Amino acid sequence: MAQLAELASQIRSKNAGPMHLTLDLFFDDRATYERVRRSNAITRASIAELYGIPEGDVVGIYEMDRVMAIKISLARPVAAGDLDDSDIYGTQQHTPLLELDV
Amino acid sequence: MQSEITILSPLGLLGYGVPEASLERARGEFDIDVIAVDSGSMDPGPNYLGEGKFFADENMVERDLELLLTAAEEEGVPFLTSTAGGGGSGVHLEKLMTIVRRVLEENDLSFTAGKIFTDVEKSLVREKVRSGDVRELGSKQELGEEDIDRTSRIVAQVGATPFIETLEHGADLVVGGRASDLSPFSAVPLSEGFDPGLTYHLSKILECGARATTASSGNDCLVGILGQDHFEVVPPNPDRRCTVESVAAHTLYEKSDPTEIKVPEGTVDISTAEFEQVGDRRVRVTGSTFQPRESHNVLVEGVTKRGYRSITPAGIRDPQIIDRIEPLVDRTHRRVAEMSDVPGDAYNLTVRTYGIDAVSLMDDRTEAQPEELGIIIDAVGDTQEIADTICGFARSSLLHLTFDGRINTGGNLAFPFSPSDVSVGPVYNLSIYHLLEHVDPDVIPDIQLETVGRTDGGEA
Repeated sequence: MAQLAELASQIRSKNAGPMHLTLDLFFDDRATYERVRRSNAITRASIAELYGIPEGDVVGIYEMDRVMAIKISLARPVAAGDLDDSDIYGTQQHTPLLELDV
Repeated sequence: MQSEITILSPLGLLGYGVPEASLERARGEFDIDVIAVDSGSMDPGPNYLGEGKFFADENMVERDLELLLTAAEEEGVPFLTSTAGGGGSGVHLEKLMTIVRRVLEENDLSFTAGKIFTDVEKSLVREKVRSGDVRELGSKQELGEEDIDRTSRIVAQVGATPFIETLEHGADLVVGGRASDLSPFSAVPLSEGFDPGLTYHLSKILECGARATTASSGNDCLVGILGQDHFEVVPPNPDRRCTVESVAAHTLYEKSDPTEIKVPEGTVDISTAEFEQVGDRRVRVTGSTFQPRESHNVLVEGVTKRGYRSITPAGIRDPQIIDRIEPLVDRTHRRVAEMSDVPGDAYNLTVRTYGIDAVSLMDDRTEAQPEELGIIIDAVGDTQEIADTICGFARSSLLHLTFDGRINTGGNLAFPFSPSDVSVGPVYNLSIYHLLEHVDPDVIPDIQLETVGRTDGGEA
């Protein structure tokens, strides 16, 4: 078992428009990418549980083989700039992934 | 049609500081046909659209325009930009044109400017709601009459179509209001018959400047060379490189779905794109395909003023206070509600606790007790006066709240500033962020021509 923070070379979080967050995981080598991809650690259900959101708010999980990256897209609980927003650009919402066990 | 067209993207946003050395290199090493740059985004939040304020610093926008318009005239090529002034409303566009006119006059330049206003009338949005041609885009809310009523300003992300039309009217300086970021880069190639799939995919990479290079910063130039069945991207700055990984990875940036790009005119499938390294610093792309849509779909953004904000930043180091910050904050809320004569529905009070749970959007909190806590008292009221009153009263309450066994009776908060409270100003929300379907491409854009510069201003 290892944590995603040890396996991924980049884990980033950003808004994709004001209504969505998109999280990208990049891997440096194919073996590690394949290990994470095949591990089933990243699913709609596991991400929903990790973030404490309804599964319907996990709008997409994409495996980009060519760049050895995994993308997770979520509906933002509040729109960017709303009164309850705490991260206008959505740059600090990746942290739950850092400790995800694979 | 020419077999190749070269597009220069000087950086990711007008006003972020065009690097002169890279611009000179690009002009020296490439036969540039178009200079295009994005001027704005909804990313910084709805306030800029609501207030008609520029997002990038106006002095820096002027500096960048001076460099780019001088280059465009000397090269004899058109200059195009979209989402003027950051927000892209008519107010923003007019402000940007004031800067453009000044730059042209002071530098003895002359252009035929085409202005594309993309403000949207409420009547169009209402009509689309009635005909059922509105899709929510993640707000999870149906668009209702009340949302439209309370909206103060609406703009549309138009596509390349009005930019092409503006060029066809003879403009060589195109200033667009709110538009798809791809529009200023794609207009000239599309008007000359280049493949739309490749054109839009290249535009998507170029709009972020040099972000698709290994250094991954948008604040530098990127050159795109578009051919009949491929395109190539290369940064003119020799310290930067495009690699297959950097270019392919960029397609993931700020997008929910990495397999396609949507524009009003249709959808680009980029999942079939092939990337090839050409030399050390250049990448060649083939295979992106475009599926046109029969009628346009247009994303509209509308904002409403939510109120006015006042804040007080403060710090806490006392472990007794940090330990019981939640009940202390609760008591502050109650004290404000009970003792202030401001009605409860005229204000919204939040105490943001940095060090515990202020940053996460998802109620993620740290269980460890921090040694130091940062707080921001955040009051939003129907008027600035209400916001100031609530903020001030919350601040004095929290400062002096006492509890059993309290050791430090001096005060609970450390303020960095005097005055401790800051009136922030108007707060806006996105009241409309929806897709209007089946929109006639002529309905929204209002194209106006103007001769600017040496031959003096005037409506053409």
